[in-house]
Amino acid sequence: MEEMTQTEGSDNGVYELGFLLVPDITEEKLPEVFGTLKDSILARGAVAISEEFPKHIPLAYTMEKTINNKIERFNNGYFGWIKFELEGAKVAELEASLRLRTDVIRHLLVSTVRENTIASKRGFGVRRRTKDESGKESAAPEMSKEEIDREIEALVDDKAAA
Amino acid sequence: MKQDFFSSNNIKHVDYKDLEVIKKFLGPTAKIMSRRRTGLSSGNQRKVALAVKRARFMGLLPYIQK
Repeated sequence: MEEMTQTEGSDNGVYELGFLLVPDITEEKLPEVFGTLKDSILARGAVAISEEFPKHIPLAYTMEKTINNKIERFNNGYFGWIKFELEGAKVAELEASLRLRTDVIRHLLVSTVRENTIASKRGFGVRRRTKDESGKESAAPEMSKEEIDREIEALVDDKAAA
Repeated sequence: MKQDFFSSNNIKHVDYKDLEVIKKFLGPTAKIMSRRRTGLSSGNQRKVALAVKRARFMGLLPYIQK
């Protein structure tokens, strides 16, 4: 709907691939694996928009994946994402290729918009504001008692005047 | 929360990776809060629900917290 109208060109859409890589990959090999994943997208004619390099995270629950006829259980993995523009018809093909990979525990391919959708990184969010406010509050007690009394009186006077 | 968090902060998209924002709409057992408690518009409530479900699938959030 709204997401579709944001895309450029007739058949091209902006997509985002989030993926979880198996934790067995060593830190040195990680750029290589990420590279192959990115290449598999770009090889289909995609234009990369933004990305986040896979980061080691603990999983919220144990995941299972059958690798070489063996059920493997994972409690952590490398989570990263790539945002790109791709022809809509090629998406299913890409998804099928991802399903075959043994180094990806799970992937999530969603249609999105070109601009950054992570609000907390753009400086929004109540949590940050409350932090700022709490900072101000903690700074406030540095005033002397007399000053505070004076301020309160001034406020009360203002209210009374209103 | 009385006002819609997303419209008051001018946020148009809810990203499943944005845990800082979507965790505001989870209860203590990691369930999605009702609209009555979140105060979101119906559209934004659906966006949050979708983001939470995506985050759960990717292991960023638990399905249930004990």
